Amino acid sequence: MNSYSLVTILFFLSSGLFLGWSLGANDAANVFGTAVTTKMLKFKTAAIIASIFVIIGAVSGGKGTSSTLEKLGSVNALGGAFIVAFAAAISVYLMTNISIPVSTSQSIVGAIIGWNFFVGLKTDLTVVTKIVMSWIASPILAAIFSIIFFLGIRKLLHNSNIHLIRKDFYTRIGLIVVGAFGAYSLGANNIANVMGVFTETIPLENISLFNVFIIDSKQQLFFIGAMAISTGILTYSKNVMNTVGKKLFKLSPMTALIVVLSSSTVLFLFASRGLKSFLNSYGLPSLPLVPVSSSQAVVGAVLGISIAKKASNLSFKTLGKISLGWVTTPLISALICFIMLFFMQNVFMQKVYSRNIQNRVSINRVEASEYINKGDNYDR
Amino acid sequence: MFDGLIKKTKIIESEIDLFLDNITKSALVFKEAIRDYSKGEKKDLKKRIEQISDLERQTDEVRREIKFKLYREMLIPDARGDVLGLLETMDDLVDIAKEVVVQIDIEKPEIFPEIEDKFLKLADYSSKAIESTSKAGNAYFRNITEVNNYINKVKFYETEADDVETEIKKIIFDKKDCELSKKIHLRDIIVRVAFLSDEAEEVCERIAVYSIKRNI
Repeated sequence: MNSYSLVTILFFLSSGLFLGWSLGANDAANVFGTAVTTKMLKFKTAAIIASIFVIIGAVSGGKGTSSTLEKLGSVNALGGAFIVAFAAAISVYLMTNISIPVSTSQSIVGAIIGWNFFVGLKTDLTVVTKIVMSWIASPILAAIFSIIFFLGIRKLLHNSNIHLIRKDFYTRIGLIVVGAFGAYSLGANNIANVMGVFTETIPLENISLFNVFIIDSKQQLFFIGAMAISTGILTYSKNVMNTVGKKLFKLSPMTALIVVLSSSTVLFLFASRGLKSFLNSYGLPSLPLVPVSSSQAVVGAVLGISIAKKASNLSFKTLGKISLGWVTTPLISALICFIMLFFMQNVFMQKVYSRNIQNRVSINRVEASEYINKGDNYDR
Repeated sequence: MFDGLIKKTKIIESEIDLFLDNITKSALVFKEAIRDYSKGEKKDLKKRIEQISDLERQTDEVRREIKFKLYREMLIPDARGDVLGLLETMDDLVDIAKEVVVQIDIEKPEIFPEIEDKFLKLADYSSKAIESTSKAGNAYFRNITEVNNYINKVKFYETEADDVETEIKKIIFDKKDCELSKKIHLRDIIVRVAFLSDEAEEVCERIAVYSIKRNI
């Protein structure tokens, strides 16, 4: 381990862990909310599945979105990383209090931009554009997927003459499988929000498991972050599930399955390095690896179902609120981060930016750019 | 975990099938019972009463079993209320059919020769309405696109039953050489037999609404 003591690391990591806890408490409801409130699954079963798959997703698939956040701004001092994550967490709390749909992805991006401003680093507008376009694309893609899945599943059910009771059985299995996939995608896509800003500042020794698996520094941090998400799921998500399942989206178990499948596919597409490399190797277009909001993907998927059902309850108010979140969340988060960094540096006398390792950071950025640009060539 | 659940699922499916089969059988036994009474075949009528009483008892038990299992295993939480409501109202059809047959056996109304054919026709329409209701119920569980087909049939039989009911009533009350008390008694029986098709139509209206809810 480097010069930081364990206590110091844990203290500074606490803001990220808090952000992870709140992500787990809030976003697990997007995956299992309806399944639990419609009593298709017990909360305990849902929480255990979600916790396990969030950890697997974070550790095995979290590096893609994390490298994009590094490209946006490599927070290279522990004090700075603490404040960036803390500012993001506070923004989420404030925005939730004033009932604006908020995402940790948007608040962490805002906070990183705030850090860039504070330390005087230029924010790469190409990366910002790519991230914002991904936020806009994610609910739209989720809506498209949910229309396709909805029409496909409806046709399948009509043609297969499955008994109502048997359908219930298959729906339960489907909710478990899709929920596990959703939790995996959530972990893979959103772990960067929780731990991404710490990867530069807390380099840990690699751990070898039976000389077969090597768990590197990032994966260890992602594991710690995923544990925080799991704690959020196990301790607090039940209340949020009740709110999401009963008040916001009253869905039948089958439509809930379609919504979770669609939104999880979107999160997966924006997180999977393997899929991106696979598509790129065949010269096919791929999506950038960007942390997106699972809640907004869910809203997109629900709207998709409304469109497929030709229901006239397309809520422009909801769409407006989402669009508002794309702008206001990063702005507020950046502002809070900027102010907090000032206090951290000038009142608590903590280093929020390290010039000494800037060269290393630059090299990392070049590496990250090369990696991302590989895909960009195909994007264009 | 899944093995146990699929086994329970199959058991409930077969219980629902048994329930619906019993409804169909009750309709057929009802029709035969009316025919036996009209033709004066008292021995056969006793047998029909036993048959329909057994079916009524068995249908009640199966319905209760399904109800407990749906709650105990927490199955179809979103459609459980609908399914239980549907089974209950279908069970009522068997109860009414049995009551009518028993009533006829106890009260022994005099079926005038002028109305005998129409009386049998009325029983046939009511019986067919119940049969089609059972098929509509089966379609609700298995093949939702077929539900409307059977509902339309039930509506047809109900309308036909209403027409025959009116015709019989006219014949009864136009009859000169008959006491009013006999006429009123016979009318009551006719109304009860026709009421079965009305009830079948009520059940079908429920099935229509539940089917819309079942569409994803």
